[in-house]
Amino acid sequence: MRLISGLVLLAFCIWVIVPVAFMVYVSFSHSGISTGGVSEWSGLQNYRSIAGGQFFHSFLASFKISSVVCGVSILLGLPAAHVLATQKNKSSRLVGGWVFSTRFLPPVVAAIPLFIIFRQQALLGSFAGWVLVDLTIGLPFVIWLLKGFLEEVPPSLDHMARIDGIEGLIFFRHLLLPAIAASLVCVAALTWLLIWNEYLFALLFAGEEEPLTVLISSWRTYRGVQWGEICAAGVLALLPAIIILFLSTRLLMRGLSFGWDPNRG
Amino acid sequence: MVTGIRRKSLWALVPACALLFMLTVIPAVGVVVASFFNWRITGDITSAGLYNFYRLVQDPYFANSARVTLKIALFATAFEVVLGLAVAGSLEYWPKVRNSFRLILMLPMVISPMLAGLIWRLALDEQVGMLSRLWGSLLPGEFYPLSSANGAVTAVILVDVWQWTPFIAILISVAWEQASVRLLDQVEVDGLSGLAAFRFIWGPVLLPVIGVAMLFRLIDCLRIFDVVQVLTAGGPGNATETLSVFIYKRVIKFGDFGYAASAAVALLVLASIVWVVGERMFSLNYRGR
Amino acid sequence: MNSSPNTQKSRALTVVVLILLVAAVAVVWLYWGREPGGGGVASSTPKSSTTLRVALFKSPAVDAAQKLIPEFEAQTGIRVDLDILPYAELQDVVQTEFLARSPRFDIVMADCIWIPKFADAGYLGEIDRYLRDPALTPKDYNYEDLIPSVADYLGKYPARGKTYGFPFMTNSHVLAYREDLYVKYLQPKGFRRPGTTPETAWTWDEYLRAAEVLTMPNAKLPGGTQWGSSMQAKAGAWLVYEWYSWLYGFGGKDIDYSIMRPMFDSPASVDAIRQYASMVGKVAPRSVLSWGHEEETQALGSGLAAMDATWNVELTGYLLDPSTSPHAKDFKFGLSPVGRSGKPTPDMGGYGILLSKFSTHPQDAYRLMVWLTSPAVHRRIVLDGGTPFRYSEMKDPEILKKYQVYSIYGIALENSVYRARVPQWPEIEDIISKELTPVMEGRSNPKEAGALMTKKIEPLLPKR
Repeated sequence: MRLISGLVLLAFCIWVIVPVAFMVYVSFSHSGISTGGVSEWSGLQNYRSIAGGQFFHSFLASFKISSVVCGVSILLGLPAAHVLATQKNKSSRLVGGWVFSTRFLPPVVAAIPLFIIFRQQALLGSFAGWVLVDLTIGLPFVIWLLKGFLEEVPPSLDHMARIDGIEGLIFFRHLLLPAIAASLVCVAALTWLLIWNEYLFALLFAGEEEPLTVLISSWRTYRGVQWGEICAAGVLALLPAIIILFLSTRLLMRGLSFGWDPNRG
Repeated sequence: MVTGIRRKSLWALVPACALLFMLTVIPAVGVVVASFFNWRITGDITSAGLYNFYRLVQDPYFANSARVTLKIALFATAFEVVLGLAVAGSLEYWPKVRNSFRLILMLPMVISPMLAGLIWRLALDEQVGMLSRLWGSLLPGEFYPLSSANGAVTAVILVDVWQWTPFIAILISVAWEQASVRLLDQVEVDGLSGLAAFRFIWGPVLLPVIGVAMLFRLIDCLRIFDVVQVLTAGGPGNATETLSVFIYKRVIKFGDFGYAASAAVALLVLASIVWVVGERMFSLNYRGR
Repeated sequence: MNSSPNTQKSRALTVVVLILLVAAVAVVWLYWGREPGGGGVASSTPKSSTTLRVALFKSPAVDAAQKLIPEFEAQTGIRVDLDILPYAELQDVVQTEFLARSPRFDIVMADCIWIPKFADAGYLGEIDRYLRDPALTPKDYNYEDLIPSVADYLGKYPARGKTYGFPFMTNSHVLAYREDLYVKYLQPKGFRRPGTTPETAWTWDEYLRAAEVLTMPNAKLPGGTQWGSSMQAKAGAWLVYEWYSWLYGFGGKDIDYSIMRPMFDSPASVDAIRQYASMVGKVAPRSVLSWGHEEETQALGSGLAAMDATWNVELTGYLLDPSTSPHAKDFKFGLSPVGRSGKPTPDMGGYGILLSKFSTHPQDAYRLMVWLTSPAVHRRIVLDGGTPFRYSEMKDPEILKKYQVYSIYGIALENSVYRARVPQWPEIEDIISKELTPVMEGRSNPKEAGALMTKKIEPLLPKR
């Protein structure tokens, strides 16, 4: 039984890794019209050829939107999450349920009216408009995750603070923040990644910015599909995700399941 | 606690919720309203009553989209649950590598679905792809995953299974591990592993986890867009034109806002039904109940 | 659980956040009530009375034009701002400005298939009276030198009988083949060389037979087969653009405008569906169903496919570039096959530069349009990567020396067919693509597909 299960795991491991490994391999290969496909090793040539042009701008655009949306989401989401985590009454539970349910709103449903409104308000293709729509993803994510993590902060922290008369930002900076620092970093990283990976809203609302997901998906030239360059861009776009992977596995798992923690189920 | 303070601190909810309200509820209501109008990008807006919904019912392309979407959602979710269960179960036999294996499993999940679609577009490419070469050297017959209707649907399901089986596997695995620990603590019976333990764990622990995971996957599949757009762009023909692609096309290419809105209402209703039913069935009392 | 100590913290954060929110709402609110026709976006108001703004998309012709613009500015004192957008965004940006009746753009570059939609909605400015004014249209502009079919398709909207602009970039189909393969395989079997005049050009049947001959095993190629024909049968504009050449080649027709009825179910149209679909799996790999421009070029350039009856002229440069194309020196071009009418029927594509109805200085804008398409200036754009549309350019020795294919391009353009010039084209294109694909997959038959296209397109057409 142990052997069979080992084989299952091994097979699954290969199945998970091989496509990604193939992308990495192609990113170092020569490809294009002259070979009709993918062929010999080309070293860093693909990386060099994408380094100059649009790729850099797109990388920056993606970086900018991810950071701004992540920042705004945390800024707006943290106070809300704290209320939801510490106040257990009917209305806060209702609000919590509603925030949770927005996770399941199909993006295309929200996108149409926003697209129409934005085009009339000249927000279409503007950075502000793009940030606003991306908040529909970032904000519920942050609120819900932080709420879960804040609930784990022992209530004694609150009591202690009250007895000592510590309030406001001091309470926040010296007591609450250290208690949730690890979780907060994890939530921020995942929110950042969520926006970094986002595609539909970027396609509709990013305008001239052309973030990485949009650039890579439309990376087709008349010289043939440049798989080498596409894969090189893909590998670079993947790097932040790989870095984030090395955060805590348990925290990540909760993040990826929208705060649903089987440990407590 | 003084109620006055409690009420005041609720204010911290307002900015976030107001913004979220503006960005989700108003658009959702807007979609419903727009679906009752004949609203084209070039023309005037006129009231259409239920005409858009009448068109929807009559439209074979819409019926096809609904069918394709459901097919993808059901098959992908089913495969993911079965595979995820197998992987999580296998992992119970290898407790030492459990955490590092989970780390590897997370790789597909942190990749952008767009990029996942592209990676598979390359792997399945009928000329240069890894799988087409493998197929050509090992198996007889033709291999057209992207150029035939059934092949393309299978390809979309395949990518979703690749990307999200780990999600289900890890959720189950974590729950399983915790439950085994508890079980051992309580009973302190040696050798209660494998199938024996499974019987104890299956009903109370794993079923709810699988339920929740299925709910997540079903709803995510119903709105699938990125992978399809990159992998097949809805083709060949309309073989993989999922509801999201259908709606997207009608907004961006045709500028037929009213009609697109009516299709979006249908998608919203579908997702809501799954959500409400799923929530009840698995008594999904989210954290902090 | 209690939470009172954090009240002040929450309040401080709340204040910051509320300010941000109010600002955001204010921005939205300011623009909310903007009436259509109320002058457009603040930033889009031209800075001075003599600045022209042009919306274009990034392409070789535009790059070439950009280099020449300073000369126009020096000659006329009119400032020109070029807004160069990615192709995918051009339509949406332009459409958005038009919808707001904004004067942001004086001139827009538009894909041929958008022109009916724009014209029908009343977004385009008429230029017929300027064309008759010798002060605005100098004699040496020589409008008659423009190939009439191109001037019509890329500058006019027949349903209104008006002219809105000039062609800027053109595209059509020619037959691309490999000389080495012709000599080795086709000549011995008695095939004549694909001709460069309507009299000597191949017929569609000859093309199909030649493609069969050239489909043969070749272990060096991926998949192990050299295919006779490349195609771009990916769902959407690609497939439809290519198939239109076949539709007209086999004597079919899309729409009978006199009765406003689709004609896809006529026997000739059904035959066109059958013949086109017959290539898939026989002389072209089944994979063509996922091929667009890029894959079509790649297949031909790499040797995977030997010929292409509907080669996109605008991409010729890539095919003939020896640094990327191993068979560059072997490629030759003939007219695309002649149809039942005895003439080639390549489908025309391309882009026009059109006057916006909302331009605040239409005469100056018109001057720029004339300047860019004038014989002296446009010739230089062609030499720098643009595509020609004047008779004089097709005979220009310097141009022909650089791009030999243009010697037959004039005949191709003159005989070109158009896709339906109705505002509902995007929907029509979608239907054709969706009904045609199953035939190529063998899931439907040509007759049924033709009938379905007709049935579904008919309600879309405007009633006369």
